[in-house]
Amino acid sequence: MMKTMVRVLGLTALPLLAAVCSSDHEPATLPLPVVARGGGLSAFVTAEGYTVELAELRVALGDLQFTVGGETHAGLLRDARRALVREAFAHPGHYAGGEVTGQLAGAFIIDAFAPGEVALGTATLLEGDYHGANFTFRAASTEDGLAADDPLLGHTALMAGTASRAGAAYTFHAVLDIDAGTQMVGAPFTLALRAGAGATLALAVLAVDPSTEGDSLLDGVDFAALDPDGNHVVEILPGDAAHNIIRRTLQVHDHWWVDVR
Amino acid sequence: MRKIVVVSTLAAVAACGGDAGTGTLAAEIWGEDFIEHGIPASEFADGWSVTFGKFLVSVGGLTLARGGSPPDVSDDTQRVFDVTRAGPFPILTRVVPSGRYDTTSYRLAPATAATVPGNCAEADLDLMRDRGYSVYVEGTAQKAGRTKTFRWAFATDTTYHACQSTAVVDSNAAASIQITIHGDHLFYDDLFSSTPAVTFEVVAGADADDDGEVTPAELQAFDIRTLPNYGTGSTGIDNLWDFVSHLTRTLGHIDGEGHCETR
Repeated sequence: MMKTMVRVLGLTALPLLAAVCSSDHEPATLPLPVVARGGGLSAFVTAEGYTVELAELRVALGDLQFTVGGETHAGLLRDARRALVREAFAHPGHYAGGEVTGQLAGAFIIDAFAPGEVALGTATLLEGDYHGANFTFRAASTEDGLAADDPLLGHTALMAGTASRAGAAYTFHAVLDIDAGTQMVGAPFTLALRAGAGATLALAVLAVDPSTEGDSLLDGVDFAALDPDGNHVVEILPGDAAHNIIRRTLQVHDHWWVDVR
Repeated sequence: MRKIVVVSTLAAVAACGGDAGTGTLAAEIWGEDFIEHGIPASEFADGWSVTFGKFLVSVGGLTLARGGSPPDVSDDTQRVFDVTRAGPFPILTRVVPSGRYDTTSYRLAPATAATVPGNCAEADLDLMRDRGYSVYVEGTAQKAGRTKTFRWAFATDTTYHACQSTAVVDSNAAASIQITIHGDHLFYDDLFSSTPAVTFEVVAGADADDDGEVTPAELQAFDIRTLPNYGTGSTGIDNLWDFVSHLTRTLGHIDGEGHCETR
């Protein structure tokens, strides 16, 4: 499974940890800045043998959540969680992941090719042992500050680049729609957060699953088969089978990561 | 192992702020009309209908509690019920402190050698115990002269907790809590949508040898990645068998449409 990238913050004293686990200590609420990681993505090889170089990957999402694993072990922590995060008893199967004890509400555009990190805001997290992060997909709108002719408007994601195999190169452009409200659940996010600690959380989209599985964002897409006119230009649009494959992959937590720095 | 713990002390009642006194609280299980009589075509988005010949569930780990207090009833006995039979069927009845029993949990878990019959036939109990099944369904789907059958067994292990039960036990009175099994969830076309459609056409299309039975192997071989529906969220599920298996984690409810959290 996933490689574990452990960053432990602020484990300054055992008495503090004991206090977190005791029933008479109300967990502290900590503000942590959240950024989106830019800087581009390295070339990767798909399961079909295409070497892909992405030039664009933008995703519209919102309402980040940060989760601790398993059951909370102190009633006060649960009470504090309810105060922080709107309680929503989920329909069975319509909720997965740990207990949500941190959040950053709002609407964001994640641009993997932004020149550097882009500030998203300040999340509020209860102290605890974090193991995952969630967010909600949405459609981009003019309220995101996009130009009126931005092709991302009204859609969830744009992906563009070139795919090469056996001497043939295909320029592709994919427009992706994911139903608003669809959650990405369980991005790796490991942080032992204690009162007084500070950190910046960096959300990143990954072209390749960092585990040994090595799945790529474009596995299952045969670009040659999508080029019947032989012009080596491939457009992938909502409703296409390839679109359904890519949008499904983009929802998988293997392709998201929250780094702690 | 059968372990039943009933706590009924005045001190506990006082601690929970409930009325003094005791009453009886029953737990039962029901498959509703959809499992007993079938899911009509009107419920399906694509015109199919389904009837179940068998719908076995292995239920245990039952706890009944007032709010966040320790459970007043805790019963580890695992029982197998065939919820195609006309129910509801009783699971247990206990004398409990009066109060509002709004926190219930239970498991649909693989049967073991210790599992006992709830209402099922001995042969069905053996099937569940010998193979470690938690859910077993047999059924027939029909649409416009087309018929598909299925026999699917699952070993999923799902704990339904923080179920929002609604029973209020008054002093010297009786109340009940119902584990409700929703058979239509097996045919949802999305694992996470709050408004999934109930469909069968894709499942029918998985019958690769067209012999009329949709087998687990055929579902396993059916790649769902190109489908516009059959959303799988972040699970990475890519075939129909894993999809339906995951849906077994949504079967359990409380008191009809009441919800639980799952793990």
